[in-house]
Amino acid sequence: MALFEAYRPRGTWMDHLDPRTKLAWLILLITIAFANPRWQVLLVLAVAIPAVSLAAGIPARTFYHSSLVLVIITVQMVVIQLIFNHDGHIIFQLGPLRVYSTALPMAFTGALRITVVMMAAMQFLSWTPPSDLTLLLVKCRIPYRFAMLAGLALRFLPLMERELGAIYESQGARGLALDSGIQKLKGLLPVAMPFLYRSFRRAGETALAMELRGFGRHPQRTFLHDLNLRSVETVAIVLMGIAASWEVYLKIKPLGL
Amino acid sequence: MSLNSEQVLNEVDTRLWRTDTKALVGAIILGVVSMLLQQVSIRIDSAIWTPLIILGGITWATLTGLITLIFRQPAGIIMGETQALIAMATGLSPVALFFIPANFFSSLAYSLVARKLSMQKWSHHFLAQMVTNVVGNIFVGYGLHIVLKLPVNVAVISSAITCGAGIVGATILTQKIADALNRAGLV
Repeated sequence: MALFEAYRPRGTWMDHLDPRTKLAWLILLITIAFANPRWQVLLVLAVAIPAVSLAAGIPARTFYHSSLVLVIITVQMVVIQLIFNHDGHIIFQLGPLRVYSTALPMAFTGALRITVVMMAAMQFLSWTPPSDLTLLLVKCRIPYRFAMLAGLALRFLPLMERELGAIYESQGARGLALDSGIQKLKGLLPVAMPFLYRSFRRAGETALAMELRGFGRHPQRTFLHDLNLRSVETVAIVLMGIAASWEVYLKIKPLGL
Repeated sequence: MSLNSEQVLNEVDTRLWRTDTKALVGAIILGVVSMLLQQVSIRIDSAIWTPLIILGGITWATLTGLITLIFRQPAGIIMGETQALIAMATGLSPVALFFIPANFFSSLAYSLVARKLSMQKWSHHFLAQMVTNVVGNIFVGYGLHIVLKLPVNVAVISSAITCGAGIVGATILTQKIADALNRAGLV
């Protein structure tokens, strides 16, 4: 199961959005997630992000892996809050375990906050083409030599995932059991080491192939496509900037800064 | 006077900056590798106890040290930030957001130590890993307190255990893997 759905054109409005608009949306969501303490707002965002993704043509299976992870994280947060949270009044007692009134709301809010951050980041990666990320960084005056690395990471993620899967299968074929937790613990080194060595070899081969194709030969790089920020997107970015600044202001206002 | 191959291999590299294609591409690929290995190790950690990131901490510190040692900067920072951003998007850990400053400053700290030392003794690796782990775990500990709302003393104890395991485990692994990669001619 892939960690997340890589970008591909889906013939929807999302294909025409400028990456700067998508980045502003991501920043707004993360700002609200950390600045806004109300669980109702976080719940709306946690529902809105997948809804927007679905409307953009991103399939629901994109969120399958993250949903499983979020269930685990939520359970862990509940356990941690039940043990360590001692604020409010006692609502339940079982032997030495005392459950305080703020434990569950805090766990719920924390889990929602993580959900929003994770889904926002996943949404950004699944609807932004690697080439647009590179162009975005070039627009920010980052030299192409470094800007192309962002796109390269997204291209390599599925490749390296498959490579890790292949190593797991080959070690399994050699008789390495990886079913239980203890077996996985014991099997970590026999899987990690060949993966690491193969990655170093791949890095060398890729760098050589890029240089043979003239990577870095000319300081000025041209692109087939250019970014085009429409006026409506500029307005949207400004509004998102104002909304994010307002959230931060509300957060720091009680501190008297 | 020209150096023979063994002398070249043992030559002390104290560069801080390296921007050749192999270093940059290696940083990205190893950033992805680091994130994938942490997917495995942190899941095992989570099954034991979420705030303790022992295997994840060892994997993180080993790869941070290894990449910074071999590819220098900015490769170390690029690798760390690649790992942190993908970790955030895939829900690797509740405190993944705090990996961004942790990876940046710990890689930088490793570089500064590696620049002053020859990195050919166990003590040098131990010192570099100690600085890296302490710096990184300060941020992760803060993240445990902010995100998981752990009491300060629990967050400090948890980070200290992760830090201790990271220093010992990563010192051994960084030295062994760097040696193996050198012998295999992969760096």
